[in-house]
Amino acid sequence: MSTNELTRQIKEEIEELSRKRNLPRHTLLMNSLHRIQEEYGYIPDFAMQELSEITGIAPAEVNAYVSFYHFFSTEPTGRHKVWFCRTISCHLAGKDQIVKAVQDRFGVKMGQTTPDGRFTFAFTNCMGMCDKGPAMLIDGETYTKLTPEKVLEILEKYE
Amino acid sequence: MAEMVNVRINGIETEVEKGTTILQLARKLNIYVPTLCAHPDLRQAGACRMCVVEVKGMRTLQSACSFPITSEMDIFTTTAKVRKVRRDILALLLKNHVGECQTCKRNGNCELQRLAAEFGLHDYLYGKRTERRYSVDDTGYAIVRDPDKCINCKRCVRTCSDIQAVGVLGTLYRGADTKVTTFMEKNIAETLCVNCGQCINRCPTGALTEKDATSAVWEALEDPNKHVVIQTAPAPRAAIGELFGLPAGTSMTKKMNTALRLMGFDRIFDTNTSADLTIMEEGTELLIKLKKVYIEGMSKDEAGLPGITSCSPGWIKWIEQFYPEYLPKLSTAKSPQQMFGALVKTYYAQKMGIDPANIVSVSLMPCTAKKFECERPEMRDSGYKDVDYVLTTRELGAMIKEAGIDLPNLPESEFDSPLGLGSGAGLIFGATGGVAEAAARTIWYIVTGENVPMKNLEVVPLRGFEGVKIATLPKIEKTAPGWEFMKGIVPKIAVAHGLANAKKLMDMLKAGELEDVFCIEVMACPGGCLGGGGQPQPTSPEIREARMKAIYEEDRHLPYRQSHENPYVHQLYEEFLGEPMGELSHKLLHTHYCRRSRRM
Amino acid sequence: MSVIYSDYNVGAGLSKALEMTPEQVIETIKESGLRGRGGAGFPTGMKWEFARRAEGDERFIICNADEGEPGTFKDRELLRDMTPVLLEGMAIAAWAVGARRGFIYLRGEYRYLLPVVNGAIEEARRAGRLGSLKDGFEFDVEVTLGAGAYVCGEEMALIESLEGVRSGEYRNRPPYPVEKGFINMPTVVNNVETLIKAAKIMAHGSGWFRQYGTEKSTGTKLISVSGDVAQPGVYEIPFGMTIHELLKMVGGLGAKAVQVGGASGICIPSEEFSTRTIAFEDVPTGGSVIVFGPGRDMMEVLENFMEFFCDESCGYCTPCREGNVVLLETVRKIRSGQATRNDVDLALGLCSTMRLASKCGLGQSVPNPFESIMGHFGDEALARAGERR
Repeated sequence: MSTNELTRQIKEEIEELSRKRNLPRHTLLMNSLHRIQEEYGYIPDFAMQELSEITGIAPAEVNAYVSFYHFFSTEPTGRHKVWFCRTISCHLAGKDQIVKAVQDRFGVKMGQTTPDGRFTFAFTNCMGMCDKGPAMLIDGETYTKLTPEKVLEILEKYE
Repeated sequence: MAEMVNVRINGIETEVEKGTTILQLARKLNIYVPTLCAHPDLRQAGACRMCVVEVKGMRTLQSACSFPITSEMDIFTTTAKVRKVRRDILALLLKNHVGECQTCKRNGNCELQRLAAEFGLHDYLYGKRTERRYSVDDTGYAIVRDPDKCINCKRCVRTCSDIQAVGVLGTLYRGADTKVTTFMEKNIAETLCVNCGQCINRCPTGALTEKDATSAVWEALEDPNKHVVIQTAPAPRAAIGELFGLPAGTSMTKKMNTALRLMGFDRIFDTNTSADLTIMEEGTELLIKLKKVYIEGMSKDEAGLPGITSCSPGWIKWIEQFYPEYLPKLSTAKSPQQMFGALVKTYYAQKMGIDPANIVSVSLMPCTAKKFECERPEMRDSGYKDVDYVLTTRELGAMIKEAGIDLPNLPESEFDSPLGLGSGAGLIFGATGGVAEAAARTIWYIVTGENVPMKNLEVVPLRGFEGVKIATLPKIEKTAPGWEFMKGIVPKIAVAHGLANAKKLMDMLKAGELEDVFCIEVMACPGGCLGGGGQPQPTSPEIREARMKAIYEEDRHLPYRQSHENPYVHQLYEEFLGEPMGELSHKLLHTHYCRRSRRM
Repeated sequence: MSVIYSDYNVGAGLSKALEMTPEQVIETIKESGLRGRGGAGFPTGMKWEFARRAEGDERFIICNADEGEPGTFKDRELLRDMTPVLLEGMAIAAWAVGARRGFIYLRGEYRYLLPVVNGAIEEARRAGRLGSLKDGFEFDVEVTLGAGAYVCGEEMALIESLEGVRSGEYRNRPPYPVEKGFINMPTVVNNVETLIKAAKIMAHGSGWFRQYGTEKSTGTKLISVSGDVAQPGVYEIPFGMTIHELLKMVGGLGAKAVQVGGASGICIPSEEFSTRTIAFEDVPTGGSVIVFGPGRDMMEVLENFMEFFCDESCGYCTPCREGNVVLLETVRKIRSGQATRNDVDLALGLCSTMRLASKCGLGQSVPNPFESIMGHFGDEALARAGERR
């Protein structure tokens, strides 16, 4: 990312939401972060500092908030973010084999990004697909009843 | 009339104002409830859970610090359940508290250690981590962070955000990985930290400490080729006794002089001398600004009004970062510490015939930000580093103890000359409003030819711990020759202490609400220097109040009460400096500021 | 037998409610005995009444669509199929308490449902079920997407998340959200299922609702069934059903144990299947039922739960932040054959501290799975470990 400033468009959208809601500015944080992550793929350092100015929340408090959530990243990630559910039902349904197949195929561990920048793989907790486990999320889309073969097939579809 | 509620605590029937917390009630009745995250200066947290108590009819225990009493209740603070839970919590905190008490700066003054002793813990119930998890951050000028000693009480976080409006400390991650750290885990040197040290004052453990200068100072003292001088600021004198078991507000000035001599300092000087110089310079500067407005017709803004004080280095870095557009209003006068430093290696060296290269200039300050200030590249006007080392009150206390000196029982002794005499005006720099009061005394005298019309010269409206004070002085009815333009003016002075209050004041200024204010005093720390980040722990409004009283009491008994009366100040201008705001004064006693980015 | 899946004309409940006074609406909900479907079971009518009576310039209705309890997925189905009724429930709650605005806090994992939910909001606005609903009464709803934090399903944490505040940091109870909630205004936080049921109660009456369930747990409950069963999925059951009956229905007979209420719920061993019932007064649940077949290692299950809590605790209060780690270490010690009876006793003692002293429901309920799983299967696991040694 070459720029060190939020795009004018994002800033306008945040202001628009603020006008529409007419609530204290700190309540803009969650929506703004989603918007920023959508734009940049992660929440850059400068964006948190700028959000601090926009919302009046101290920079460290913005960072504290961001780091609280699994789905926000403060580091650049791969083009596709893949989350595997590690919680009980998916665990019982065999999530370990799924993860092993992925790790073997791409040569990276959970929490890492493939060298070509295509995927970042990570665990997350229960994603509400317990009746159809093992499950994963790719860029917000869910895939269920995974098998080692099926997961690799699905991943192949993501460039 | 406040609504009252009947309560019973440990069987004692009483009545409290609705909304009183259980902890407040317990303290009032002298019922001891252990606490860690609670602090009298900070909003309630309810984080550590040490203070839990049993409330009849409630399924869970309640944290006394955060539970407001709103209806009749029956409280128990000593039951088996309560004790077991508190022991467990302590054991859980100790589990991840890496480090040995014996090698910790807070040994003997650590709240966690004290609680472990109170509970008679003789083993680590849930184990104990021995390997470090994190590394120490000593990149800063003033503050050292050792996260392995942190117990997540968040006092520093609340201090940094709520009291100081800086907000570089926060809690990152969650669950077992939760960690108090800086924005994006940057080194403290790369953050917006203003080095005020208020986090240190409120840290219950050794997780936050000041950067050590004691080793360097000992080394200098032991070097026979070095001439080591120390200047001592007023606030430490009113507080250092606390480190030796004396009550807060015990004035130790003259005993401390004796201790410093015993330690081997070659000269012991008084920062109040240069505080008087600060008033002469800053006062003259302000009067020049007033002349520009009232005689030359310049706008107040253009002339740099209201003039803003510049003695507090935490405040300076803060305004450089957050309100750089107001830097032109900041007085260019250096702080007393730095004026002193510039004179030691010029005036004093010449007078004594000592090569300034061999002088080691040490200062005793209540302040951690002074460690940063003396490192600023602008602070080398003597041709050398004007102040070599800054010791905090805590550090000097530790050195005195190490030297085996029994401070409370020492005989008293005086400062050395020629830089060892300060007025009461210089002394009260140690309390919030003090610089403004000292300036008011002198400026009033210059403008009217008479003393400020206040009983005992005490400008009471400038005193006290209200966060933002706006004081109105009497109307100037009569003027000295040359100052006729000031006639009829009602001078207004604004004062703030603690940077969150400074922020309020700056926002008022920005909103144009301070139109008729001449001068603004800001001290970064609550209470002013007496509540500085280098002062003994713990801190509380009561402790600061006691220190303030000691300072004002000492002022009352000094032979000179006003900066312009100080004969040494006159001597300095005659022998060396010339006149206030003159060429040499300008070179040695004034400085400039830099706009700093708010981006880390 | 169905409440949720009963025939229903969208808008019926809201129309009925708007014909009544807010007090009458609250009275109807109170009569129905409806209790919060998120798991805690607080009486909904009372919650609304508290919020109505509390002082504040504005009031808010928040729909808690952050179902994160492991093993729960009923709201996923409800949001997909019934957001129009949910919005109606929110509008009814708003009328009852005097709110003008509502939020749906949708868990980040359900981002793919966002178009469905937003579409339903648009549709409701067009159809006059949101917006200006009556003279002097307007109500609108917006969605805020969460970002992956289990604790945000806890109402205080959820409110803080909406406010842009790190959850867990700022508030202590009391005061409760009904007095000082979102931006310190009186706020009702209700589960998706609760709000949908409220709409149906308004349409069909409290007596209709009370015909199902038990005296203290009226009506029906949606149950999400997963684990070792033939037909996992969402089921609607009347409160008071035994575990055995439930297992029979979903093809899970022969199970070794059932975890009811998710990771923070309790574990019921097979001996108790026919005696324990799903009800607030017996085995309460937000809807999660996870079934463990005969071959399952319950210490593995407990380890998974404890890993979950170590990660999902907000980290603010000591008992939860540090206690979870000790409990996890204990389970791992058992699994590796290193634990002694003393380790287990120490951990159980710590459980009582966590239940008594944690700041919120998360830390207070971690002992549920630990004590129940350890109580039923701990000895067996210790003995096995002893054998291995």
